[in-house]
Amino acid sequence: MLPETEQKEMSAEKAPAGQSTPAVGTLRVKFSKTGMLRYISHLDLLRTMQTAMSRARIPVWYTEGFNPHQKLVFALPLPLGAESVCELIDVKVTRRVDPKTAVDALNGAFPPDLRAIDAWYAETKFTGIFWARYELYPVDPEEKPDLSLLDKPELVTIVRTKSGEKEIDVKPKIRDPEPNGKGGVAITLRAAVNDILNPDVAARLLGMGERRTLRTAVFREDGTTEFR
Amino acid sequence: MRIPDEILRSVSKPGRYVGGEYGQIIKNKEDIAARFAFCFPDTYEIGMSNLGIRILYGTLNSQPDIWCERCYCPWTDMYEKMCENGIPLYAHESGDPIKDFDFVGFTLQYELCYTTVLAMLKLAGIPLLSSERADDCPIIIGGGPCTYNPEPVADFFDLFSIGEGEDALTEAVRLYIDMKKSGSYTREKYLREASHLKGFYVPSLYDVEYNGDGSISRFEPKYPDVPARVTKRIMQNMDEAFFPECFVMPYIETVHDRIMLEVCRGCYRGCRFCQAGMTYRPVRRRSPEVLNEQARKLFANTGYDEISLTSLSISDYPWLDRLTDSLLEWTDGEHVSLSLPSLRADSFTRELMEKISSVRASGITFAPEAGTQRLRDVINKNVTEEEILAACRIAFAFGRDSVKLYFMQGHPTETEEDLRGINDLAKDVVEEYYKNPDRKKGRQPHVTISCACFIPKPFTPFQWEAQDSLEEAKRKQEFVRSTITDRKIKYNYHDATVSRIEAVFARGSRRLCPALLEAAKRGVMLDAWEEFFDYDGWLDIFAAVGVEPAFYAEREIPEDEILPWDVIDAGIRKEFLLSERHRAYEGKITPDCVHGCAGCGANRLGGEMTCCPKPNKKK
Repeated sequence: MLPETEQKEMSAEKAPAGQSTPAVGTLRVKFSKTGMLRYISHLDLLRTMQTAMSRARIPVWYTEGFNPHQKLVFALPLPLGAESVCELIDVKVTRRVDPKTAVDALNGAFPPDLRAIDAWYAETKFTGIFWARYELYPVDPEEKPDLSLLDKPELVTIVRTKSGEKEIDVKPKIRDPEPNGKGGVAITLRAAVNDILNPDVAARLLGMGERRTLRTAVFREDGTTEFR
Repeated sequence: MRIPDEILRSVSKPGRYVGGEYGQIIKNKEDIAARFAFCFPDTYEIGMSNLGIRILYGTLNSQPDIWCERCYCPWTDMYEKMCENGIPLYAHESGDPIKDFDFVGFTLQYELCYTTVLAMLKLAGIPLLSSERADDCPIIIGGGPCTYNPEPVADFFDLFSIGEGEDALTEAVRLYIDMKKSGSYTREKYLREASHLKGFYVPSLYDVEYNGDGSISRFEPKYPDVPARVTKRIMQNMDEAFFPECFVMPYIETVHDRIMLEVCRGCYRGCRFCQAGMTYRPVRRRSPEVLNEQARKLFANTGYDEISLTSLSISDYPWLDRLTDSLLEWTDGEHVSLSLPSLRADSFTRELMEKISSVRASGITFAPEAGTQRLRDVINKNVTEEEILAACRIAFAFGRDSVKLYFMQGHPTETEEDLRGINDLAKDVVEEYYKNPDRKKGRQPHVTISCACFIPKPFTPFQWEAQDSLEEAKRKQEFVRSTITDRKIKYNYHDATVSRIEAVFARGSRRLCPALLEAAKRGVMLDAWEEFFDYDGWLDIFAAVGVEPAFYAEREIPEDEILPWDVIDAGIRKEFLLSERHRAYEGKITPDCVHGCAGCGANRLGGEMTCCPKPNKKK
């Protein structure tokens, strides 16, 4: 929860019922979603975030209209079963709270497997994300992924898209694969708007069976600079 | 215990099995003298919505040496995977198998959960029959509305907590801890001692004998120290009763995912078919100040954006204005909406409507329960057609255009005229819409009729009544459908075969235990789910164990017959129920408790902030 002084300030600023307070900025929170939370879907995470924002007393801006609601925007949905230490969420606020304070408040309101890592006021849009870095670990350490499988000039495989299953060459959507030193692989995959390669496809190309998936970073267009 | 990834990846909605929710209570096992697995015999989504469990979870965990955890029935896909992989049913918080717990409690909310109870015991690796459990097995304890007639599940439970469990459960666990500490614990000794606690029923300590037709000839305790009747427990003062300040916050969507305030317990109307209206007496209320404080704390600790004021009949709460006013003082600014379920047409006012409208729209639902005034008088649903129409008028004036009307068909004395009245009433509601001069052009009203089937329930004035035969019930449903010609009126009705099985178990005796055991053998579970309910399967099970379902559902029980649930004292006296039954046949209404005490007898249990007169003799 935010410190009491901040809370008081907030309620004093509160607009009378029926009028909404304008948004003064977009707080971007970087958080991790690990452990058993990998089985919580994107939609359920959204609901969890909504109540957590409220518990943490973040001065969230509400949409106007018939059914006012919090507007929370996630950078990149995480596939069910995957963990991450680099999730980003944008929340419009009606007052500029100190980002460090917000991180602490959120950690008090999050369940244990959800941790706020950092926060700042956003100056970019999520459309600036083009790549995401993943680590894939085999559940059975004997099943080492074979990186040479990615060396072919073309990697034609079936991917699921909104319009059904398609066979395409995913080679241009994969870069910088390397052993991660722990029996798994680190790999960067396309993660742009309307052009996302699911880590499960990469795992399939690598011949991996049961595995753990961890997203470690999101990058700008150059594929190496961290997106903030 | 960790569930292997490959299993969680392969089942639907794995989020229901992983635990780790915000607000769950984790304790250090070394500090714990007794572990309690609170089981809800249905899925996570249903169980997590139950307010009673949230209260009891909090109560038990308020004891430093007791750790109460939650447990639900896995969906069939997960159930199968757990069986295949030898994973026993585990508790959510610790992941430990519930067979290693000291207590396993089940809340029995509806009759169709009985098969799920057995399926859960089976998955847990706990013997189904109380008589087959050894000293190292957990104590299996049941509670909840169905325990007003616990007999159909008597063989499977060691102990039943009758009535309200806030204080009672802790006492039962405390007795266990004391006996364990002194070294005097054996299952047998514990159960015998527990039968002396107020409000606890140990079914194995009673002998039941039957007449040739299956009715009961003798029902007596085996030992003189075991009470002949078990009186239900109630909380005397709701303002002082425990209420949780935080809820466990589910990740996945559940049925009631919001703050629930328990405004009052009980209902003083006295509808003659309604079990809750009788068994929760005496009505006790919380004060608006306490409720507002609870709401604020719950909002701060949960972050929910909706508060539901729950009660059997919320508009009967005498301080509703004060309560909603004090809530609206802060809820609007916090973007929290209020919802008021269980509105009664005769207390639905313009002021109330304004309050609901000020936040978020929710549907308007009324329960006339019967189509004619004559039948509404028989069932003592003291609401008139004019009151229903007036309520709809207000709703329409506030721009609502859909109304839901709940009815029940198959009430005692019901005629074709009464059934015809259902559509007539719906038509009048439609007409009422067009009488509103300010209605929006080009829109039309939607009236939904939702019809349940009458089920004679223990501890109601109609407990002796017969349920319609299945054919009759279906014929009536078809008849009501045939009367509806207006496309603005939609007709929904409950599956009569489901109501039939519910009726069998609602008034069943111990002779139904073999049927449930047989159902468990056949793998029946989650019966309350349409996709798993199998009526023909049930008929087959009954036939296999020699049970005649019509004997329990369709028989008018003679008033002097020993009832399976006579061993329970629910507060209301049998003479009152009988007199209410007779008044029903005379078409005489009985005024609600506020307008005069009808002498149901529940006031002898005490209770603060009730409308009951104080009993003459204090015991």
